[in-house]
Amino acid sequence: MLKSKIFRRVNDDVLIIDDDIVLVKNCYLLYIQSLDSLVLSDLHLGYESVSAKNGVFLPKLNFKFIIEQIENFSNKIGKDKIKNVIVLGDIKNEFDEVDQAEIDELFDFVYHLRNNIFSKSLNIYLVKGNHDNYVDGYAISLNVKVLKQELLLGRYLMFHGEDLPDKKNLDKADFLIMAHEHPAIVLFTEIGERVKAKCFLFGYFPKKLIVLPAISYYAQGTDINLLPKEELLSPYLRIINLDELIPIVVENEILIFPQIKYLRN
Amino acid sequence: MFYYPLKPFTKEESLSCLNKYVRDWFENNFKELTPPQYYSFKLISEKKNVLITAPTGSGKTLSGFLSIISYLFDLSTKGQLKDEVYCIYVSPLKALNNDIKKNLEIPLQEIYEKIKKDFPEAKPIRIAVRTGDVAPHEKQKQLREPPHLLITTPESLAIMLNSPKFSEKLKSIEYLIIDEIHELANNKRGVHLTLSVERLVELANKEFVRIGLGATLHPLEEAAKFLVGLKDNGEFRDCYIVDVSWEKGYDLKVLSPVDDHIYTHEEKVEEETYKLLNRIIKKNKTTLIFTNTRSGTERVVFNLKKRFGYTDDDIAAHHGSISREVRLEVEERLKRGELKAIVCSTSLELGIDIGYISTVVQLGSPKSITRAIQRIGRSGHRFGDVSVGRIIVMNRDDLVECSVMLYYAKKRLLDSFNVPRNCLDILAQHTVGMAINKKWNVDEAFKVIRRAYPYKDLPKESFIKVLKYLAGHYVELKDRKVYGKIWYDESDQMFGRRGKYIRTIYMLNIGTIPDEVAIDVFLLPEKKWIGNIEEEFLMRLKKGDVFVLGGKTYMFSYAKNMRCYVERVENLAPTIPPWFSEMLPLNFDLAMRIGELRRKVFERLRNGEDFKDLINELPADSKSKKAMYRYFIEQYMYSKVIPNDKLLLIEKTQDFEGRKLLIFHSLVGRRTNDALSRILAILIVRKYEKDVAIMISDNGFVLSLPVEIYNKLDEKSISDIINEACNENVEELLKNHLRYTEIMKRKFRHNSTRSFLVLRNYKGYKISVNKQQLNSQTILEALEKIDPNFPIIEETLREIMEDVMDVPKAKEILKRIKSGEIKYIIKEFPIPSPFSHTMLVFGEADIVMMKERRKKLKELHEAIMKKLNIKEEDLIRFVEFAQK
Repeated sequence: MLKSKIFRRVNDDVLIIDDDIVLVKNCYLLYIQSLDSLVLSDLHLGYESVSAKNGVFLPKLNFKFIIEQIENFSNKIGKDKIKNVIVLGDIKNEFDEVDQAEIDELFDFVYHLRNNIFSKSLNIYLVKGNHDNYVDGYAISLNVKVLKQELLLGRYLMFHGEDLPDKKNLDKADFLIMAHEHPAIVLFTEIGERVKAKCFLFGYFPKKLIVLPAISYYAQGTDINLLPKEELLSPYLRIINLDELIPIVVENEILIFPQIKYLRN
Repeated sequence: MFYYPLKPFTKEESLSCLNKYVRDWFENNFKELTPPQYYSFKLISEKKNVLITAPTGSGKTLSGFLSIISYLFDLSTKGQLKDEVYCIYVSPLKALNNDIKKNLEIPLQEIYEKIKKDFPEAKPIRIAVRTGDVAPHEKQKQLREPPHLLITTPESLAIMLNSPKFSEKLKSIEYLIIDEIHELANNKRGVHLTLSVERLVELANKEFVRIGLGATLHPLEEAAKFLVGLKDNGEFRDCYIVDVSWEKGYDLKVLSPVDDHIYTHEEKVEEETYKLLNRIIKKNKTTLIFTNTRSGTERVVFNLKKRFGYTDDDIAAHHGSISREVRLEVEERLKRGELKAIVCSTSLELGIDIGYISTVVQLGSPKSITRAIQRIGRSGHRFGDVSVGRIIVMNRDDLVECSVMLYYAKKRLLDSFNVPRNCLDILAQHTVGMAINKKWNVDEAFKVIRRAYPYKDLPKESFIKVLKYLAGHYVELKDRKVYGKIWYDESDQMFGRRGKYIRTIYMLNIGTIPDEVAIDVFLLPEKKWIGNIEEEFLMRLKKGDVFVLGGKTYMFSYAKNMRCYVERVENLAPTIPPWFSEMLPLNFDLAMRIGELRRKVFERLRNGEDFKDLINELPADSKSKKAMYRYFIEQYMYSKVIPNDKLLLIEKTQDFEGRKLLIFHSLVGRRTNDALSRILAILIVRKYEKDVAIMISDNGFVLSLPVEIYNKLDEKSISDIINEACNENVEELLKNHLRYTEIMKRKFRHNSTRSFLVLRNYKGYKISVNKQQLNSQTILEALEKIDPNFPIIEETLREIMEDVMDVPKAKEILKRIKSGEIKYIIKEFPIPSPFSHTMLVFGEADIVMMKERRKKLKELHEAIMKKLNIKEEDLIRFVEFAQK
């Protein structure tokens, strides 16, 4: 069993990174112990409604899927440990307008967190993503703190990822947490079968970095080990050495893969 | 009741049914009646349902229309011809519609001129085409002045049924003609049409005369059932069946380009094939050449031009990927006799009048006796001419196959087709159509649906499932106003339309022809758009794979947001085989006949007797006969067995790459082998917990096994597996396996579009934003989570099991094996026997997999770590080191 400062397996279901960041199997979110905070991103609430507006009529699975993960995660590590929930962008789905179903799910989400899982005093932060236009208008009624670009808390700088973070904040921070890219690795079996799995990406140079997978049910992820660098969405990932990042898959069990450079063929 | 008139009526009996002026016109223009006309004039004038199958050039159009025209002119002279639609003519091809209209306008005009002299008050008969191509002002005109004869397509008919104003004009219908019925009865487009027809009966509130026209088909009764449907008491409506397909003579022969198909170099075979083709083209006025694939068509035209100097002036290609304007032009030039040769994939199977064809050449096997006749029947246009057909074969299995095919064709013994049954996606579409027009009681609607032959045995629960899906029951109440296309009241058992957009959705998304090519391909570095490929093809591509598109080779670089990015490469061989779904499957009946010939040959060889006579009676040239003879001898000498319809040879062997193979010589056609191979593979995978690769072809299938399993499979183990297969519930077995296959995703996507789960066209926009993030797999998995028996999933499984594969026949074969009617023999060889070679080279490959996803991920992880020779701890050390 791995027992070091960088990676420590508490048991089969839990992995702690850098002595502070907790991952739980089958959960696409993380917990920062020193900040009592759950961090998740790319929820795409209202996804099915927006799809239906575009003529694709999907069953409603996303909301339940996300809530279940949050519940399972918090049960695993102890609900009372969680004082803050930080959403790193794309809490909703539509780009240029707001769909009623998105708002409904947004309210349901916040309500659910504060009444069914955590306590009413839970702090909720939203770092705006490219899909989160118009959310500011609901910030007060939702009692959610909306941040325009990024959130600097202690040694952590958390940002959505569609833009480069502020240089000053970048210098102050020791550990970056971002989203937006929806990483997934694609592997091929001996007989050529294609297997794709969503993953976290962990890096350590030039700064420690974790890229969150999308927690949304319908986000299958971008092929991070197959796409050429120029095609990546996040400018920050384009400037660092992506090949050195380590993918961590949490589906069914927590698997730490070798760096992306070894997964390119 | 179905009636088969034994002899035709006399000329006098036939012509006396016609109105005097019509009769005069006919006698002035034609010396004789054609064979179908000797039946149809009288039968149709007596308002009987008739199915007429006849080859091209047999005056089918007039045989269908003339009695109707006569009836209408009778009304006209009596001043009783109303401004109503009396006859609807439906054909699957728009080009044919225009031809029909043109061909009838002249007689209508001429006859009317004569009538007018004696009956100045008489009104002319109006004929018009109404399809998507017709201009709006023209359609408006039709509303004001409905045509008496309305010409249309299946899709447009469905649209008309839902046009509030125009549908009123259809209520007067008294005759329905369905042309090219052989192109409709065996697929979903035809199924869609049968529901339209029953809805038409409901609309008109009366029965009308049904006339079916087409090329030869078998069994005819099946086509008749398709045409007439059922009455509410469960009996079929009456129909007269007239088959005059054989009045024409057929001159049929199989040709081999070379003596030796095996050792002659590929290039030489190709060269000789083209030389042979060229000789035929030179000898004939106009030659129609069928390849089986679009890429094949392009290649042949290219080669004929390059090798023999033909130009665009004398030869042309014709297939679905060519633009409509170009196709029409080619058809026109053919009609005018300007082309020496036209090369096509399948499109000219359809019955447009293309002028005189002296010979039909088929490159490679058409895979069915009936199809061969349908195609060859295009030649010798004028009635009385002999239809000349030649098949040029490319390999030895083709050779035997086509020789047997033409042998039976000459004997007029065709192979059969199936009407797809209980298609829930088509049902969903029409249910929406029905709901748009009025509120229905469930039982009432169910009754209408069951009158259509494909739905005669539809279980009520299936219909209810479709209703619930359409009403959006798979989401909560509050979401149903967006999801629901209809409302469905379970307690009242009523349903009706929902939402103000539903009519628009229906009109814009109607149809059965799937959007085959969904993925755009872009050339790097400019990202220039170069064409389309299918979603499933994209899923198979790995970086570095080379494939052909539009005649050029490209290397796959990456995919993003459902778009494919490639680089141009020259001189690299494609690593992805051609798209196999383009290849037609061998008909089961024909496969059995080939098996029968093999059995006879085997019996002779076993008794030490010669079998030359069996080969000599086949319609093939001498090169072919020699090659076939040698082929059988080779197989016998190598293995002492000729596998046949009563003896299954199972070979344990390996290929030149050392892969261990279990080869089953089951000559039953690809569809049945698709099912059989999977059943056995699943059982092996279940038992030994390792993945198995399969290769499927018409003559048999191959299981490619890991060494450990191969070594464990002795005769007893193989027999055990076969016994297991014979006693297993194969439907359940296959369904569970199919859910994770490529074909499932592909067919699911088509069905989800047909059932309006995924719209092609919604509020004016083509689906883009969300589709970019989603693929069929995701939608399929999401639906399975909420209901594994969701109607669209159920339909996809049904379609794969019944229409793509042939599970019923596979069960039949297993039954015969169990009863001992088919015996099997297991032999081990160092290298594969001659009969396996084509299977190994051209077989369609797939993988039958055991491992659940979780095991796969784990194994992949282990394999990678092992390959790099590191453990998890090493990764940490690397990180810690890098930090310093």
